[in-house]
Amino acid sequence: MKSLIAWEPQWCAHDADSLVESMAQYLESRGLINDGKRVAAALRQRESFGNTLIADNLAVPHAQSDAADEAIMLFVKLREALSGWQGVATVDRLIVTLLPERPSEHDAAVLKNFFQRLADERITQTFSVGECDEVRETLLQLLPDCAAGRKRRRSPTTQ
Amino acid sequence: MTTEHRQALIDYLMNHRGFVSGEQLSAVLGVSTKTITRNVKQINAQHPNAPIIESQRGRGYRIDRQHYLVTANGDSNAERLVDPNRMTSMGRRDAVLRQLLVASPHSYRIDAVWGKFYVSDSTISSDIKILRSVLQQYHLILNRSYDQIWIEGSEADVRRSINDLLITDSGILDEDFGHTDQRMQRRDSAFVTHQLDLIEELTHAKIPYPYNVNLFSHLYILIERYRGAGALIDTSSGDDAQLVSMQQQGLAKVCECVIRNLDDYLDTTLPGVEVANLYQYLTSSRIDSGRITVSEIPEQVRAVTDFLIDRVSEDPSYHDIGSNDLFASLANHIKPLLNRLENHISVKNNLLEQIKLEYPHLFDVVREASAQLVQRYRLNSIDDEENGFITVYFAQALENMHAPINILLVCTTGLGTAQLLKAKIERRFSELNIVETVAVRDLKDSLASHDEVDLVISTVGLPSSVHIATLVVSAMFTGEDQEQLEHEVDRIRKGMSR
Repeated sequence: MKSLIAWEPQWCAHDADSLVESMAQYLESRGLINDGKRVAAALRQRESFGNTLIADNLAVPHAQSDAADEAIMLFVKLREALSGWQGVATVDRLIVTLLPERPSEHDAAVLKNFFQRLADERITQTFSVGECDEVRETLLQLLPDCAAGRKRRRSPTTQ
Repeated sequence: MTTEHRQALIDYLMNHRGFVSGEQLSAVLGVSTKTITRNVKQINAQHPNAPIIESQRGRGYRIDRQHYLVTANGDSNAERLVDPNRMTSMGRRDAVLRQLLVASPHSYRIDAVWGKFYVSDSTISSDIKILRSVLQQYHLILNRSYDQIWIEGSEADVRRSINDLLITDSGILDEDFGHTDQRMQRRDSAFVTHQLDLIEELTHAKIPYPYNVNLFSHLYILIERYRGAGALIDTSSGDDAQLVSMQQQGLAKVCECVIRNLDDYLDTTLPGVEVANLYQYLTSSRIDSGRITVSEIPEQVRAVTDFLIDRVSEDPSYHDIGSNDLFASLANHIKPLLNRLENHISVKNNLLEQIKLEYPHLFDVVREASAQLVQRYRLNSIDDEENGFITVYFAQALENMHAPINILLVCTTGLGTAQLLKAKIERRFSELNIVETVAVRDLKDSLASHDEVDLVISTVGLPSSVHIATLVVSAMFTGEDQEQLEHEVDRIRKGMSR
């Protein structure tokens, strides 16, 4: 499983659609997915099914797509809050999750645990308002793979 | 109802803080509860912008004093409430009662008690007659000799009457409680609160509601009595024997400590019987210092608890209500209850009306069972307030008897928001059994293999082919979502019980 943080990236995203596009392009540019357009479409489709807001300013868009070979989690903190997410919300933070069509049992278990831990208000609070270091630490706690790989590489990586 | 009767209703509510039950109003005003309801409507109809009298299911009626005084500005009835010289007759009698009870057996000149109200001799005679009948219920005598008046009776009865008549149903002392000095009232209140904290600290236990309110009232009344009557209080009521029967040494020491603090606070030396009195109150309270095991429960408590459960189980509706959990929780309640009965200590049950309304049949069955219990074990009678508390334990057992509602949680992948929802639901809805979390595309298969599922909860829209109850909620699982889920659970429960 890969985990990344994009902290106030220089994206030209003026609305929800272009933000989804930017996030997908970012993952593609990092070589984590092979088709950004397909991933963007999958994320948009998921949003059309129902709201993914888990706090006033925090959404968790997610999708399953064969454009990803392994599970990916991207934490995004925008430079400026974006209004119009789901038509009404104003978000400045997103946790994007991408799953391959057939995720490994290990990745599925890690993700299950991650989302269950989001029910803890302290964790949601950190993701909603925490500084970059706090967010990274919390992600490392919740995603043990990334913590294990930390010694080998900087993870979660930050733009 | 005539205008006079409507005014009597308003007067009564103006003189009682908090909610007053329809039954109580009916008894006091001599009309049916339906008439009370009708007249509350009529009174409120005169104030269409905002009702004067608030009514709440299970609690009764409460008047908005400020609103009444403002809207009735200029009305002579309202003015007489503002002006103590023209107080309502009920308010006047309450004020007299406070003055005499707190200082009992101290005698006052009749002029000194009624003078400020500027009422005729015949009104004074009428007030005395009414107060005598009220006090009679507490075995207290209102004496009048020439121009002197005073209340006579045992200290226990005086305190019981103060507790019943001058303490509001919400457990808060009446704001007019004989005090012109609000600062002193606040100081007394803070002191008593501190003593309760101290008791909890020394016993390493929590005194839950309503026992904390009861203890608060006991200590507060004690302060008022010693400040109001002091040396005149008769403490030779033969309770000294109880000093030696304080079996729990640790608790006795706590009581001594608190009474010594009261000595310092009142700058006096309270008699030893006050330690025994406080001990009685503490042993009559449920003190939560961790759950006691079944083997630690005294024999009599076991027998009484078993008897109650057996009698209630005889009713066809509650055949299967008996369980270890019910026994353990009820026995924990019965232990201090038996002490309360022995010591004639009553605890106010502010939820009584609500309990009767929600569990009318169960309440009747419990009342009948406790009446048999009193006969069988020769106990002092168990009042409705206590029956209400007992009913709650049976009601809880009844709720626990319900089969769990089986649910499926759905999101697009089954791994994302459905998992978040799972954690939130597990935390807040213990009666729901989560069978599985699934991806929306796997829902059909999952339902086919789990025919026990009663409800599907999803963070995404569901296909119309799902033929069982469904609920779509947000990933945030907002208060509104939770409310909808509660409604859905209620609806399913009702369907199950048909």
